[in-house]
Amino acid sequence: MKKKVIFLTFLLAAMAFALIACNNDNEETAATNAESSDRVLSLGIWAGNEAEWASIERVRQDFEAQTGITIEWRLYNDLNTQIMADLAAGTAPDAFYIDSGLAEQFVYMGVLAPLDPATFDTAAFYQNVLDTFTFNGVVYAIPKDQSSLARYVNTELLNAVGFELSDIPDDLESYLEFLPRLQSALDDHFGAGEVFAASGMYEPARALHLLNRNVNPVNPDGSSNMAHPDVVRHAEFIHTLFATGAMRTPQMMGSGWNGEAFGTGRAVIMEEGNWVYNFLRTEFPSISFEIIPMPTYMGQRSSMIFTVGWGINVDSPNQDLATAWIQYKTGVEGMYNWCVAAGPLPTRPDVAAAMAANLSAGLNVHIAQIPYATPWVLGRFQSFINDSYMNYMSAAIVGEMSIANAMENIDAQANLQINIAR
Amino acid sequence: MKLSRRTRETLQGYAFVAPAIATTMIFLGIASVAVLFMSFSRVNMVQGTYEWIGLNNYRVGFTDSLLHRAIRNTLVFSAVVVPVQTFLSLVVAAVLNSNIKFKKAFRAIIFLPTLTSSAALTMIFMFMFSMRGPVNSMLISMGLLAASDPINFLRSSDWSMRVIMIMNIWSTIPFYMTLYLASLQELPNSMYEAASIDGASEVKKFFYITIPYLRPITTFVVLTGIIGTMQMFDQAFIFSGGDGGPASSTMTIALLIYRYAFGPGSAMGYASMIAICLMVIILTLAFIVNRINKEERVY
Repeated sequence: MKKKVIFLTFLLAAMAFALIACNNDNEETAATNAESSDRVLSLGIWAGNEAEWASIERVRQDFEAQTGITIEWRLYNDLNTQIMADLAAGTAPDAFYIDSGLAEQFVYMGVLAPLDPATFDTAAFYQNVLDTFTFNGVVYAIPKDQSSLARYVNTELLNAVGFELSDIPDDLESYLEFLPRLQSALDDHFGAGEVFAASGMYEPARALHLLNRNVNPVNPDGSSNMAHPDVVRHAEFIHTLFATGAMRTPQMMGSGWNGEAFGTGRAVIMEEGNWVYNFLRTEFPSISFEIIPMPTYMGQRSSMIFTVGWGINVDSPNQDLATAWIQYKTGVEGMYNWCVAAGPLPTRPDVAAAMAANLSAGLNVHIAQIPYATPWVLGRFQSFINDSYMNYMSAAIVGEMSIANAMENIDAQANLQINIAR
Repeated sequence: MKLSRRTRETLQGYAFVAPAIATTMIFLGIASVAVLFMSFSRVNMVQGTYEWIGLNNYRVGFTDSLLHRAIRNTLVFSAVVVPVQTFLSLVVAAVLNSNIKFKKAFRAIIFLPTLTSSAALTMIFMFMFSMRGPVNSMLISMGLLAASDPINFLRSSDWSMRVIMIMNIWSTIPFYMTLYLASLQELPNSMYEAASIDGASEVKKFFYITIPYLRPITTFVVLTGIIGTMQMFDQAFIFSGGDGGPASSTMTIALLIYRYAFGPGSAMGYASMIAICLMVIILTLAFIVNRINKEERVY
């Protein structure tokens, strides 16, 4: 019995010692951090592909050499979800990426420090891109880069069935006549169900620039306005494009995404972001394609842009360091080096001009569309509206319900959730 | 102070389970109480604000058509999957327990799905059921479908939940089959011999010896089946890309909890309310299953 008691006492002592040791450990680390905190800046990003990672590492080295500040990466797999948890726990990095669609939510939660326009040279940025991160006249994030949608045309397939690049209409309305004509030529030449005229996507991230023509699908208070007659009319137009059977989603063609459908020669025309350019060059070097601007709709040019900004954690003790980093990273030198190596488009016209000479004509088409493109944002409750839209629109596109009915359901479901979350 | 031997042993026992109890209390006990508390509050995790709103979350829940849809979807899912997976795993176990050839190889092959992660299985099934996937190709080559008109299994509100059901049944059978098989190997052969002498057919032996003998395992299989299906999340999430579509057909209770809890705004309290509802539903179903099983034992 005595032995047991001794053993137990020993065990408890060991446990207590272990706990104390752990505790000391933490204190030591905290102390080290406090001493050198004025030199270490933590940045929350995603690693991206190999080119992106190599590029940002290079920009980091340049920055560290110039300023003597040490950067500590905090890499996230799913930044949009994980950063919320870190913000709630008070462990978020000093500065981090902010997706355009989450910016308003972050500002509303009060987690972002307001940024001084003069310090960050905001006048040098594309206004519509900067506006994505501007609320009540205050800038909360500086756009680091962006991508825009353009049309990619497989000229080999097009020529094989007797069409020329110039035959492709510049306006979406003419697609209704053109796509079926191209489709029947493709069916005759390749057999039915093999090659499709156009790979299309109806989700808000791709179609918002059509849905928002002369109307806002989101109310000022953030609630969904998809059942507005004008939005319904635009959505019905999108539906008629799909109803021709000549426009299909990549999934309807049995592909994972646009780039794959296009690269494997299953679609002649696709609307895709500039990220697909390098993908096609490396994965499908044999296909020949041209890049042309997005079609007009109701007589107006349009496209979508996708942007991510740098924001500063309002609770960060290193806001001055974060400011220095963002100034450098979104300045002419930092942005140029990043965009040239990683592949996205710059968010400043001066950098775009500097890059233009080295870019292919196709990527310059992407850049030229930026000033009039619609940034991908659906208000403060983007994910509720977007998910409700996908939920019902996917049923409407395949004809299971009418567009008007789907849009009413989208509003009902999204606004129910928004009211609960508000 | 002199403790009696009994007290000393009791104290010792508590000392040994203390770490387990502490872990459980921290990660389950406190968390459960917190969820219960949050279900009566408006919670914004990032701003760290809690506001007591009484039964308001529950009141809103009564009018939330999406929640009703999610509950209905989940109950239908459970009602189809649990009986089918239970029955099929029993049949497969009985077959593997008989004297067929290569049964060890079959056992190993059949057990493979259980070793694969559910996310990977979902991706494989999404490929199999895609527009140009093997399932559509097979149906077309059998002449059941026109080549130009394959079924959009993944994005059809009629089909997507059914595909998830098939996948779930297929992937859970091996685990339950193993449980049945272990029990079957304990089943004395003399009972079957006796039945043979009385002239019972193989089918009768299965229904009158095998099934009754395995009842305790069946209770376990049904109970864990109900709990597993009621909490189904990953497959619906991957299948629908997180939106629960098309037309809410794959929206499950767990998926809805996730959407509210980690969506924009301050709906963590509402998500907690749904979690409490899910717990009540599972407890009720478990109670009913247990009750039915007890009643049967009387006979």
